[in-house]
Amino acid sequence: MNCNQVDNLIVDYLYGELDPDGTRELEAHLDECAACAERVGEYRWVLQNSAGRPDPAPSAMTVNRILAVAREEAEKPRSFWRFSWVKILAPICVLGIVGGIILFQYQSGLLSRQALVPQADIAAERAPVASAPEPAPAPPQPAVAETPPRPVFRGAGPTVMPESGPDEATIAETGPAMEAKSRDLPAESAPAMDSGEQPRERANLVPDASPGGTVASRIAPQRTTRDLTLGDDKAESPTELVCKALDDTEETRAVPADPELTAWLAARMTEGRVAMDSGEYEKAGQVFQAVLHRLPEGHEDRPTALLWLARVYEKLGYKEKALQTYRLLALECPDRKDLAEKKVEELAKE
Amino acid sequence: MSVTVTRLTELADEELMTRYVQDDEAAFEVLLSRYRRPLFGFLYRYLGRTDKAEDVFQETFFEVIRARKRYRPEAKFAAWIFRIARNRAVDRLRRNGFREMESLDQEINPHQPDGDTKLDRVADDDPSPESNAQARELEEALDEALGELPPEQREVFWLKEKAGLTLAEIAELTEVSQNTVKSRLRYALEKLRTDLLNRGFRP
Repeated sequence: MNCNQVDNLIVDYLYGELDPDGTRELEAHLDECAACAERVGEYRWVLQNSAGRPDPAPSAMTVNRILAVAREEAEKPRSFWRFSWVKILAPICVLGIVGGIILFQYQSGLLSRQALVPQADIAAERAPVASAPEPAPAPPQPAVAETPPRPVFRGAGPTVMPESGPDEATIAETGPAMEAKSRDLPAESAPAMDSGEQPRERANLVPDASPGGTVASRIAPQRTTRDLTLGDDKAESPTELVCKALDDTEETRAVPADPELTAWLAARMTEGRVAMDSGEYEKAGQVFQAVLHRLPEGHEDRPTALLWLARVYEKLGYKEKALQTYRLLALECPDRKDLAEKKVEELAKE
Repeated sequence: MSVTVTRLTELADEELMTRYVQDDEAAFEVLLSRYRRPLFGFLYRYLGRTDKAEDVFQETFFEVIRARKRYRPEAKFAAWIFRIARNRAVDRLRRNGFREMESLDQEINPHQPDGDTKLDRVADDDPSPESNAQARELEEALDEALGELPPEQREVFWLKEKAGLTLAEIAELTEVSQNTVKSRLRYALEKLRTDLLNRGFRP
């Protein structure tokens, strides 16, 4: 092997991809050629000092965000259908319902036929024309007509979408009055109130369990919005915020992963960070507020957004707001509790 | 629980990804922890900026999550994820039309709540046998030389180091011939070697 051939094979050799025969030949050449041996030694030195160094790591915020999305996506399909007992029970229930309807119709038919017999007899005896069969199909009709609460939900649908405006409505209507309304009304009635519709009866909303749960969880972020408006230092007391957080945690944790939300969230968080970097704290505050308004308690990204918002308040000199936000962070995220309490202590001393 | 975790960490990437496809989020966590540093290391060195590397790192894993149902275990996971990362990094570079190289001891972000610097992050797992000043100077010189490599050479250099892929796999990933990959690596190594020697460093 000569020096040129070594040149051609040097990369394979250095990265351990040269076959055994080639390796033997190349090393034999290195034993004889000091120039090539020196160069190969220098390449190894470069590799050890560059590639051998430890890698930087992404921030904990980025890693947590990825884990949160992965978790939500993994949990999405198992929320209902994944459980085997649901797979068994669901067809049984469907069969039961269908069977019930058939039986009901059959029995109704029997009854009406039984009822028809004397009528027919009487008709045969007295009446001129057969108007009697008319009532027969009537009984099943009311059963179908009794079930339309679903359209009520569809009607409430648009107000559920987070970007359709109710955010402003709920922001404008903050404080104890709004809070009392939110607590007193069933979850599903909140959007109706926001959109100016009359509150619906609970009886109409409760029975539709499967889509109702989804709707309830989707509207939760709006229902739990809190007053963290920039420039207004008279927000709700931390106790009120704590109460709200405790009230809604269980329900809102059931929010399913939503790719649209994930994309929106990633964009907003980047926007907020960029605004912070460029010193546009008011803008950053608005962005993180929007994120918090949309994310329910228990969402994995809330702690990060709270932390950023607290930093915004600090930068803007809103000490009380910053304190409240750190306290809320301590409550919502035990992992960040130490950090939050430390910041509260520091701020209290200032 | 600990038994499960131990078993997961012993599994191959492809098996972990297969489990995540079946909604085992713990398997995904192991994958993320396994690729956290090498993938971010590649992106940081390729893109030259922490903020861009963070964005592309996040986008890459979001894509892995979104496309998990399309993953086939026959495909090497490292090649798959590095291909996603590399393509997104290339897009990012094209969009920006330029690159900036930062120094590792520069503050990552003065406003960032985590508040650490790149060196803090790097130092986390570093047993640091080279703590003396000369080693530090060598590292800085090498960083500078690496930053001056043409993008194509830098790309294959760090893919080879961080992804643990073969030359053939890198050729497939970057859509060039294997000879081109070898040639780029040889030029990269030669340039780094010459730069360091010219600056007075010796093995």
